[in-house]
Amino acid sequence: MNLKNFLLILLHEVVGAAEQLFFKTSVNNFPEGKLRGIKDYLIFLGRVFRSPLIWLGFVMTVAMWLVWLAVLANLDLSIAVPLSSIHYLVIFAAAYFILKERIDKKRLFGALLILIGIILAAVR
Amino acid sequence: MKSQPLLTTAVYTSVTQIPQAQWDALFSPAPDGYYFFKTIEETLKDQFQPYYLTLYKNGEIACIAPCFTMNYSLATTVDGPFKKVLDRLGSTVTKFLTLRVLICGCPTAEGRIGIKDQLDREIVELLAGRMFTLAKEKKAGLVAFKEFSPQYDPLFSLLRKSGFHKMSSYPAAMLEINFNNFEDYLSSLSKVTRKNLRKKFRQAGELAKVEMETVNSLNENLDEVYTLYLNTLNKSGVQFEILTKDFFKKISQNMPGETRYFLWRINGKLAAFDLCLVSGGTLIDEYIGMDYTLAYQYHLYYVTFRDVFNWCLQNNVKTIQGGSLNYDPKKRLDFVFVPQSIFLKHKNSFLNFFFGILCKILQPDNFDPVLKAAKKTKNGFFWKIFTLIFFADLAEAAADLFFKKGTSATGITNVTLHNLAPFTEHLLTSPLLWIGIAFYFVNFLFWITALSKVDLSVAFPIGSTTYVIVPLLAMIFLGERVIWSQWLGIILIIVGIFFVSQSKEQVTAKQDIEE
Repeated sequence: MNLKNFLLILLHEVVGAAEQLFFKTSVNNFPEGKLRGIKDYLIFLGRVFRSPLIWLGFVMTVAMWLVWLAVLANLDLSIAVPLSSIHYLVIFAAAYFILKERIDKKRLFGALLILIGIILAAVR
Repeated sequence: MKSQPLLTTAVYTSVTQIPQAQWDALFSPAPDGYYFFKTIEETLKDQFQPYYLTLYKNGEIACIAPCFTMNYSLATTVDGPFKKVLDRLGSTVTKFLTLRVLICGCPTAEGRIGIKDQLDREIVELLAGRMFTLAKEKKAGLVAFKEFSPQYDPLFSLLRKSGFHKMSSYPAAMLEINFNNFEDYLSSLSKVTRKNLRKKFRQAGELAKVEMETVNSLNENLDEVYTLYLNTLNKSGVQFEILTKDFFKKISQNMPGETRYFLWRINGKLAAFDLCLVSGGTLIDEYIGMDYTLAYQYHLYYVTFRDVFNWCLQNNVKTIQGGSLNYDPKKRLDFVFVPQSIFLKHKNSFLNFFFGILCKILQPDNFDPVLKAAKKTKNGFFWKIFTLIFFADLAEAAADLFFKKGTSATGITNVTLHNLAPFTEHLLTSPLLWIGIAFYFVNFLFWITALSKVDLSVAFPIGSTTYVIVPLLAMIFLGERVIWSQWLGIILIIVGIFFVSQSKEQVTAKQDIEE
């Protein structure tokens, strides 16, 4: 794997993290509400699709696909998938530093187990 | 070089030995402050012997911890069929379960410790140490911190390392009044509750008129009120304190500005009372009493609640703090429950071990049906989120499959800048791509719903179930072999998800999804 491929994968993860950050920031700004029944859900969806942050997230989604196509063109899937577990690290760092989520020991430990689990489950 | 601050302690046996100004400087303002402790001291001395543990830093007061000793029955929080069994077994068993304890907190209210700056480790450890010395002097084996809200948790978690056990207690029930009128509030409740309440008010209205008055003190009606108080006390399964008649008098004398008696009369006869403390926009519902020959017919619980609510609207009160117990109607009235905890340790480390087990058994959420349900809902909530994310993952896997098929159907395997235009053209006209996009959209709907309810750092790890499902599906349908390292990976992922589900504060929004 050369530097270009590595950078492509890194770019993929950063864009992916940005996508989730836009989504999460958007729903965090919604007023607290309960989702009881269809009516509440439609109101919720109305907020979702009128939110500019959600649309920014979609732009990131498309960008991710394009980068991923470029990755696949150059790299075997069996290497690409385990590498994408970097995703976890980036998302966790973003949740902690940018969204200021309180990550306790159990959550961190659980995420770490999952990370190792993914690498093991994907490699054959 | 900075010298270590000199820490000294003192124990007072009456709040009046502490200047009120010092008390007020250390405690955040609350209706149940200095004079509330004074009232309890003056009227409930037989049940609770007060001690005020004070800490001085370089001679300056730094911390006040109100404490008291009492004979506490561990069976206090036991309710329902088990209580009947205990009552049957009689005094021998009850005696065994009753022990002398030194408790930090307030006998009749939420626990609070007055602090000058910040309760740091040094102060907490000194406090706990001093409490054990005091407990030894007063022949109390057990030391406890009673009914502290979660904001004290980080501190008391320090104590847990030295052997203190944490036990959940009865939660406080709060209601924020951000409504213009009672009708507004009603329409914010669930449909069933709203209908039910309207019906109750109509039924009550068709009978004789229930008249309400508010007074600051009781005179000729003291006996009547006390009878109603005892009525309600005897009806409730859980009794911690038994107020004296004197309490009802003294509280008005000590706290004339805060004390409000709400009295309801039917045909001139007292049917219900509610003793509240009001200050700084908060109303604490302290004690309630009812005439149960009238209570059900007139739906007094709800009628009195409505009247207090309306009084709050007129008097600019923004928060109602309901009494503990009676969680079922409070849940329907949309009260928010704030958890409260007890921390305790026995001086004998062998006994302390058994107290740890006993704590788990005696927690009120094992007995109160509403609290029990709330505990279940917490798990139920996680499963709902898990299901949402699971479906999101399934849709995503389907979307990926169609994208892959769509791209390979273009016949172009190696995308470069030269063939990008025909590749894009092929792709966009392929129905496979659009089916993929549709699946992606479904995935997004599930995902965003889950994300609106839990932290990203919770939702994301749960999303890793795909890594469990895909190899399993490949094994079942495609006959692919799953090698041992993959099995190990799958197990790690499942255990990891379990740990994430046990993590605290998963929720960023209100815990409420109903389909």
